[in-house]
Amino acid sequence: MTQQGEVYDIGYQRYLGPREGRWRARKALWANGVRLSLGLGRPLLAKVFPWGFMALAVAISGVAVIIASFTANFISDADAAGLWGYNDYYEVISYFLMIFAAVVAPELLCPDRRDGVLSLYLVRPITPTDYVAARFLAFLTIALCALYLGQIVLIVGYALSASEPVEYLRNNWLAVPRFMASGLALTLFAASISMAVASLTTRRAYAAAGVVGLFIVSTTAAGVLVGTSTNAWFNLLGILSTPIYLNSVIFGSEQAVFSPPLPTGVPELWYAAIVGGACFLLWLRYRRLAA
Amino acid sequence: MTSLLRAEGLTKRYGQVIALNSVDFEVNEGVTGLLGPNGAGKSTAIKLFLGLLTPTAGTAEVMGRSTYRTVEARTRLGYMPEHNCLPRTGSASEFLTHMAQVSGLPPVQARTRAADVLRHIGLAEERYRSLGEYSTGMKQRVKLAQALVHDPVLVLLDEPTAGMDPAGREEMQDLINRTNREFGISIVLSSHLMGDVERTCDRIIVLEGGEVVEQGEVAQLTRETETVILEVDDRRDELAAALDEAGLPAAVQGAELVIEMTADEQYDLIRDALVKVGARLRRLSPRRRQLTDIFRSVDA
Repeated sequence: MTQQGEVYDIGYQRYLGPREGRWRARKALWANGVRLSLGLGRPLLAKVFPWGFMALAVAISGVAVIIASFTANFISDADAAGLWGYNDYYEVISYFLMIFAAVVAPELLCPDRRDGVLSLYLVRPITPTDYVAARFLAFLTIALCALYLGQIVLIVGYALSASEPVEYLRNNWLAVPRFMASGLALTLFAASISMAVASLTTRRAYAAAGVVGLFIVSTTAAGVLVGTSTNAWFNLLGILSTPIYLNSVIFGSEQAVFSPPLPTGVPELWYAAIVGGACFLLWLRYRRLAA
Repeated sequence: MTSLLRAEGLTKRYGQVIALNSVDFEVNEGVTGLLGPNGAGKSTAIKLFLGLLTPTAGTAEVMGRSTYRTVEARTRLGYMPEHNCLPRTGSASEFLTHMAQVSGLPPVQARTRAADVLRHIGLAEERYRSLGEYSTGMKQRVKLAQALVHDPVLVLLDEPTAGMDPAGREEMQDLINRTNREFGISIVLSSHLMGDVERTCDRIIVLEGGEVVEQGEVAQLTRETETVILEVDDRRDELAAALDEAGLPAAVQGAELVIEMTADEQYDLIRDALVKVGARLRRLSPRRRQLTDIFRSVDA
């Protein structure tokens, strides 16, 4: 025997559950930013760049590990052998990271302003700084995941390829904090510049072109000026030169990024000025947009 | 009892321009209309209450708290802007769940609230469709839904029927009335459309040049006046002459005769004049004051 069910309209119900305030709002914005960065819930085309970058980050490491595994007596002292080290990985991936930033940063900021969704966020329990910080952190999360994943593949691959994996890890454990610090420096740089540029326009294409344009123009200008002059200060014009310099400093590499060299502390200050200036511009833009 | 909104000496200056000049008013439960021509200070007042602007002087409080001092005060506040504010991609369900979380609701409860609110505003069937495919009327409903999804105590609606056709406007007006009467959510409605205000508001605040020029209950402001409208099928001019002869001058306005009454006995004079000229009466009613009259008197 079956019982008959009935559907009742109990009308509008007041919400009496928990309200988690500002922290929940920040977390929701960050999570939404991560989804946007990965193109989740979006058409296939929106997934190509982020997932392509992730795949590339791992693929570069994979190729390096395969080469290493075929190279005799390499693992015991990779740097001395002149083969691929952890800092070399960042030098290569940094160019792809800038392209990734040029695509993803506008995706995180531009549609919210263009479609007016920002006006809904800013009347909820968050400040413009919360909004920008959540989006910034979402970018850092995905970019760092890709970079660290590449480095993890590299260190695990090198260790497994070594005749004494434990010995290899014991001798190279310092690479872990180094690649974490250097990856963070590189990602902070890419995030601050690309997001500052993206805050200036509501069009994703213009923002992406702006980031790529800034990268190409600055690198070309630095190359030409350094080539035709002996003034070392022109090196600073190259947008990626300072994070690459920091990368070599963190890894204690002897490699000369700036030739002739700049006075001690200048590249570090220049890095701080670029990142700080870009973050300030970003913050200022959203403070004004809120009013 | 704390007012839902309270403006005290509220002033906002942009350089030399005074957008709001020492304004005082309170908003309590119900539906309140914020009326005024462009540049009257309506949007500035709303932005001050939302905490998007800081007052030059005075205070703007929402439920006893200043939203520009603490953003947590916005937890029980909803806002539906006039302009487009919906993303082009994603479904209404997904969007509302996200906005509920940004309002502070945990993920599971946010999903449940989003489904409930979409059902109440009549978009249950379309909740998984992409927002980009929605009609103007459906988009307006989603805009209202995002303002209600976190169950606010008060919702600020900025021109909620802007850009809608007459049928859509009527549906939105009904939805606004339901939001207050069935859901128990108070509303402040900014509009320049008298029809919207008369059909939905219990109370109005009229702003002009950054100052409050009139405020009160809509029923009181549109109360019956001492003027009587008389409409006949024929012999209008003869009737006017007869009334004039009886000592009750009537002004001809289109098909109607408008008579200023001073005593109830004058209704007998109207009856006698109608009988005398043999005119067929179509309508005899006291004139109600219109909200547009308030605007005319403000302009004057």
